[in-house]
This record gives sequence, structure tokens and C-alpha cells, in this order.
Amino acid sequence: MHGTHDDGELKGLERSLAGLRPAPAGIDRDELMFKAGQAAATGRAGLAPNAAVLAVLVAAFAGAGTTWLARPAAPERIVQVTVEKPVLRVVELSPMMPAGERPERSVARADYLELRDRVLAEGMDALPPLGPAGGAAPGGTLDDLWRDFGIPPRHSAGKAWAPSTGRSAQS
Amino acid sequence: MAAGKSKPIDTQLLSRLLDEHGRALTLFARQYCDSPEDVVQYAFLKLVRSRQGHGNMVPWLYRVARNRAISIARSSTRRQRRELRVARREQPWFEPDYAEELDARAAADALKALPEPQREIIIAHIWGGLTFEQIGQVVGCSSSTAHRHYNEGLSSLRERLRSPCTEHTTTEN
Amino acid sequence: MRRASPMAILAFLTACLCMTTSAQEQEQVAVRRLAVRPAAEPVPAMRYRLLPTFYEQEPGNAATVLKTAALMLAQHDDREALQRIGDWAKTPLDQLPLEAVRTALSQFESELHYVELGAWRERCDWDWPLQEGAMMLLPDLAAYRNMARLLALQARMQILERDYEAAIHTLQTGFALASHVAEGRILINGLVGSAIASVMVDAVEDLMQAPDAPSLYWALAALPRPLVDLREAIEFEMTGMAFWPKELRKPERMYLSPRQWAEVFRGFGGLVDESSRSGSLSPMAIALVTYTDAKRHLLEKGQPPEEVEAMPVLQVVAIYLRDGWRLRADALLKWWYVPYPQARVRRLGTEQVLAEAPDNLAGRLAVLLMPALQKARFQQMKLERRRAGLQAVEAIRLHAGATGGLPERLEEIERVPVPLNPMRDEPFEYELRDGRAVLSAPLEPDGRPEDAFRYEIEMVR
Repeated sequence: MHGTHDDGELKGLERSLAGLRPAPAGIDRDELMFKAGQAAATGRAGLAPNAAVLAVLVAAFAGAGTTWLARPAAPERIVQVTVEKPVLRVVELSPMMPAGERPERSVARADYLELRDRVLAEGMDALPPLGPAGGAAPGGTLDDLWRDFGIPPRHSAGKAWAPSTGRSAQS
Repeated sequence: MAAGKSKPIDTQLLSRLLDEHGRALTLFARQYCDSPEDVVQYAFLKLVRSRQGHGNMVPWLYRVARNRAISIARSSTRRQRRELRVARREQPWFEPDYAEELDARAAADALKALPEPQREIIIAHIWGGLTFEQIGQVVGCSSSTAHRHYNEGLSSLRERLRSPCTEHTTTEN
Repeated sequence: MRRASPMAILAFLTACLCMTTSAQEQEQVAVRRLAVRPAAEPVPAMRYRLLPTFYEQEPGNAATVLKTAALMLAQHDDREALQRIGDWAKTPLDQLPLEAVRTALSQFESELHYVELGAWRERCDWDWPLQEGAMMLLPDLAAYRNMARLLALQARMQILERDYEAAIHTLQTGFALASHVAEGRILINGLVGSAIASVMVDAVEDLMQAPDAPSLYWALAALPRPLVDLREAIEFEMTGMAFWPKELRKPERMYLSPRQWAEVFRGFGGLVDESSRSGSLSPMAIALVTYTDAKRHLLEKGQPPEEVEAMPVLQVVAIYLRDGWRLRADALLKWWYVPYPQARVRRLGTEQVLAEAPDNLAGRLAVLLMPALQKARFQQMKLERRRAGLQAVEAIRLHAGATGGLPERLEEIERVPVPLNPMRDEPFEYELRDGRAVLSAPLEPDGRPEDAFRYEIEMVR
């Protein structure tokens, strides 16, 4: 749709639209400034080596004494190395913490910290929704459990709700 | 690793950029995805990390924000996070306009109904303050094409806002 | 301004900008409007309470029953009903669709019953697997949020039906739930508990505005201060180094081989990944390049050089990290022990401490693992301020009940003390405007416009 249009009217619309103010940005300024300060100090935009890479580095350096640390290593010296083997096979582990029993958890930031910080920032709405609906718990629902013991289930949906007065009566 | 010896960043510039362009950038990002604040923060941090001169930083910020927002909208990982926020109401695009010259909600609805090329150019020009040449660099077209889309979009907006009985359809993000 | 590092300048400018922006945004502050009626003190004075008393509570551990209720909610089929209940929590009371609400609530009768059973128990021991540290899963937390919304909706229904005794009982259940959820040492429980209490306070506002609603002045006064105390959780996460491997808490006492230290660090490094918000090199790599600084630190502490040389590299780094953590954690935590009205004016000091942290693993860990103390304290104080504010509104109701009208100034109210704004230890701001009372507090630097406190009170008959 182009061609004939009233320039004056469009200019008027343009002015009216410009009079609208976009909603607030909703950015945590303190957090941004602090992260900006961090980012400026590190001065690097690249990604971190992954856990497999680092395990190689640790294995290489951990038992090697202190000689390699005679001079401080600049960050650029940590090079991306492709490692095909999974982490647990590269690192020689002590009997104290057998590799096989420690699950690989380096994939995502720790669950609790992530959740805590989101709730701090966003409130209760940041909590994830409830788990799968109806009967998803291992071993069946509570009703199933009661039936297994020959007890009629006491939790049936659809009962009429009545406002409670004082202490709840046993149903 | 040397600590605290890197070149100091211009905090005043960053603050000013946030003050002057934060809202418009957020509006710009909001048309693509529903986590525009994350997008805008990403763009600012990328600016700080890159530490290169970008000439006029504002079009650069818009380009980064656009790429990031579109990437977020397409990414399946982010889709999961969006599901986690399903209880949230959609945020308004504009502040309510008590002067009643133009209804903020109607304007937002009309904008949402525009095709993406027209909408993003209108937002970048009117609220972002970008020239058509800068917009062309952001979205990847010539300045004349950007200008044409702009005029077409404005004409469509005018028709929509003129007819209150017109059924407005909202374009999904 | 004294010469300071870039990050300190950032933090300072940030604070200045925040205050300036706050002033500009004052006019955009959200207002809560209350239409209340004059009231008289209840007889007896403590006839109404918002928490169960000791004598009313049942013995036993609330957590076991509340976890059962959480499981019941998680198994409930009707997810849409839960969603609607969440939406109705924000609907004005006079716009609630009564029949739909009744029907929805009726589906959760059993769940509500178990929530009540749990909430009215006298103690709550969650017994979390804290040894899991930062990997701990808390899948039932969302259920407590849903419980709060159910209770709030039930209370609102009871208010609409003018069954105020029942509504108050439901509110007691809700505040007790908030209190129990907040117990247990981890911060997120405290935050969720605080949010649950806030949902209940919303319902208290509804009750205050109901026709012939009783005075809740003393009921609000009797609530503990603070209503939800995050202090223990903050201490646990900060000084207890809750999310550190135990080997890193007292590293000088650990006698591990270099490979064993490597394994400790490998597990610790699992907390961070490429896409985390700290977004930089993971601890492992940084630890390797931190050794020089770590060694110097130990020598400056007075440790004999031959001992330091003999220690495994990562043990030296571990001690350095721990000391760095303690330095920063204590610098932040100490202000928690100062009353908020005094602590709030010192916030620049604590931010500078964090901002001036060297950009090494210790500094990054501080950002990653330390909770945002400022935010947490502000959340706690926001709830306190709201409680005090509503108590002030109740004082106004009592004044109107005795004199027939709104006071010109808060000082006119003699029947009961008017609470101070706990964020500043000062009276709330008060004025009469167009026949309404405006009760407000200044916008705090820690807050945004939506965190502001401003009530417009209309006295109706």
C-alpha cells in the first residue's frame, strides 16, 4: 500500500505516536552496572572452556608440583582443546571420591542458586509450575494406595465447598 | 591475571545510554520476544565487553538487540523458560496516555498487527530515533527500502486507528 | 569524590542515578485505594489474631503434613483451576465471579484441609538435605505458593459472605503457613514465606474494607517483628558458606593429595557453566591462574614460606578463596545486624566493598554464591512497612470511630499509638486531600516505583 497518502496526516500520526512513551525498561540498573564493571575488567567476550577441557588442565597440572607456576599464566594461555573422552575418564581420582558415584553436574548452574536468585529478583511468580498433573507420582496416587489397602479413598473431587467456620471439621 | 588494571569504562556513557535508550530498546525487543529486559541487558553488556568503538553505538545496540531477541524467540531452550513465566501478564508496550490524544493500548495493538518489517522500522525510527540509513544497517536493507516500509506502515496504522470498528488481530511474538 | 577503581565509580554512580531516577519516578508511584469504615476496639482487645496462639496449635511437625498437601496439589488434575485461582487473587473483590470461585475452591477442599492441619501445628522442621548444597532440589516450593493463593481466595470468599470469623481463621492459617515455610535455614524458603505473608496481607486489606469489619489494629500489632525474619537464612548462606564443598570451608585443616584437591575443585566448578549469568571462565581455570595471588596472600598472613611451598597448589588457592569470601561476606553481612533505618544509608559502603573485589575467582564466587543481601533485606522491610502501614490505617479507623472523622494529622490520634515507618524509624507521611487521607512513605533507593508505599484512604459509612 503506497502511493497516494496525505503527508500532513501521516506527520500528525507520527507526532501522536511519538507522544506515547514506551513502558519502563524494567532493567535492574544496579545489576547491569555491576555486571558491566565486571565485564569491563575482564575485557573478554569469549565463552568459557567447558568442563572437559578444564578437567584435562587440572589433570595435567594437579600432580605436577609448583614448577609450572613459576610465572603467572595469562588468561590467553588457556586454550580451547577438543577432548572427546568424558570428564570422568580423564581425571585420575582419589579413593575418597570415586568418580562413578559423582554425577556429572557441570551442565547447568546449580538448581538452588538459580531458583533463589530468580525468586529474589522476581518474587514467587518465578517458581516453576507444579509438576505433572494427576497420578504422576511413582506408585500411583494416594487414592490408589488406599485402595490397595482396602480403604475407600477419602479424596474425591467435586464435593460442594462450604465456608469453614472456626476449626475445620474432619470430613 | 591482572586485576583492576584494565582500561576504565565510561560509566557515565553507559548510564546515559540506558536512560536515553533503555525504554525504546525494550520496546523494540518486546516485539520479538517476551523477555525484552534480558535482551537489552545482553546488548549493553556486549557493548561493554566488546570494548571497541562502534561509531554511533545506538544503531549497534539495536542490531545486537534485534539479533538476540529473534534468537531467543526461536530457541527451544528459551521457550521452556517462557513456559515457566506463563503466569505473568503481558507487559504493556506504552505508558497510558492520559492526554487521550492517542490511546496507548490501541496504538500497541495496531503496531502488533503490522507486518514485522514495517513495525520494527516504525519503532526504531519514532522511538529509537534512528535514521533510515541506520535502520537499514540494523535490519539489512537500503535506506530507501526502510523509508518505504515506514510510510506503508504508518498508512496502515492510520487506517487501523481511524476505524474503531475494525477487528484488530494481534500478531503473535 | 575520592579516587577509586572503575567498579567503585560504577557502584557510586549507579546509586546516584538510582536516587535521581527515583525522584523522577515518584509521580508514577502506584497508589492503593482503601475505602474503610470507622471501627471500635474489639472486646476483648485480643479477640482477633492473625496467627494461631500456642494453645491453639497442635503438637507435631507441620512439614510432614504440608508436604502431603503439596503432593496432593501436585497430583491435582485441574491445572486450569489453579491458574484461575492465581488470576482471581488479583481481581478486585467486587468483581470476583462468586459461583465460579465457589466451584473452583470446592475442588480443593481436601488440599485446603491438609494445609490447615499442617499450618496449625506448633513446629516445623523441614529437614532439608542441606549436604546437597547448591544442587539441592526443592520441587514442592511452588505448591506453597499455590496454597497461599487458595487460602487468600477462600478468605476473600468468606469476606464477601460476611463470615469474618471464618475469614480471620483462614488468614491465621495463611500467616502460619508463611511462618512455617520461612523456617529452615535456606534463603529461598524465607523469600517464599515472605511472599506468602504478603499475599495474606492483601487479603487483610480486603477484610479491612468490608462492611462492619472488625478493627484489626491489635491483631496486626500482635504479629511478630519482623513478620518473616530472613536473618538466620542469610547467616547460613553467608557465614556458613552453605554451598561450598566442606573441604573448602576449613581448607587449612584438610590433608588431601593434589589429586584429591583437584576433585574437590572439579565438583565446585560444576556450579558454574558457560551460560550462567556470571558468564566468565569457570573456577577451575581461574584457580590455576590465581595461585600467585593466593601464595602472596598466605605469606602476607604470616605463614612460613616453606609451609606454603609444601602445600598443594589448590589448597593454597582454597585458603585464599575462603579468606576472600569471608572478607566480602562479613563486609556485607555486618549491616544486617544494624537496624535497617541506619543500615540503609550505608548501602554505598557495602556495594563498594563488593565492587572493589579483585576480579578473580574469589570475587566471581561472591557474585555467584552470595545472595543479593540488599534485595533480601529490602523485601523483608517492605513487608514490615506494609504491616505497619495497615496498622496505621487501622489506627485511623479507630480514631474515626471515636471522633466521627479522619484526623487532620497523625498526631491527633490518641486512642492507640500509630506505628512508625520501620524503614526510616520515622512517622509515615500523612495529609488530607479532597476529603481523603493519604498515607505514604518516601521512595527508597533500593526500591522501584512499584515498591512504593502510598495509600489513599476514604472513610465511608
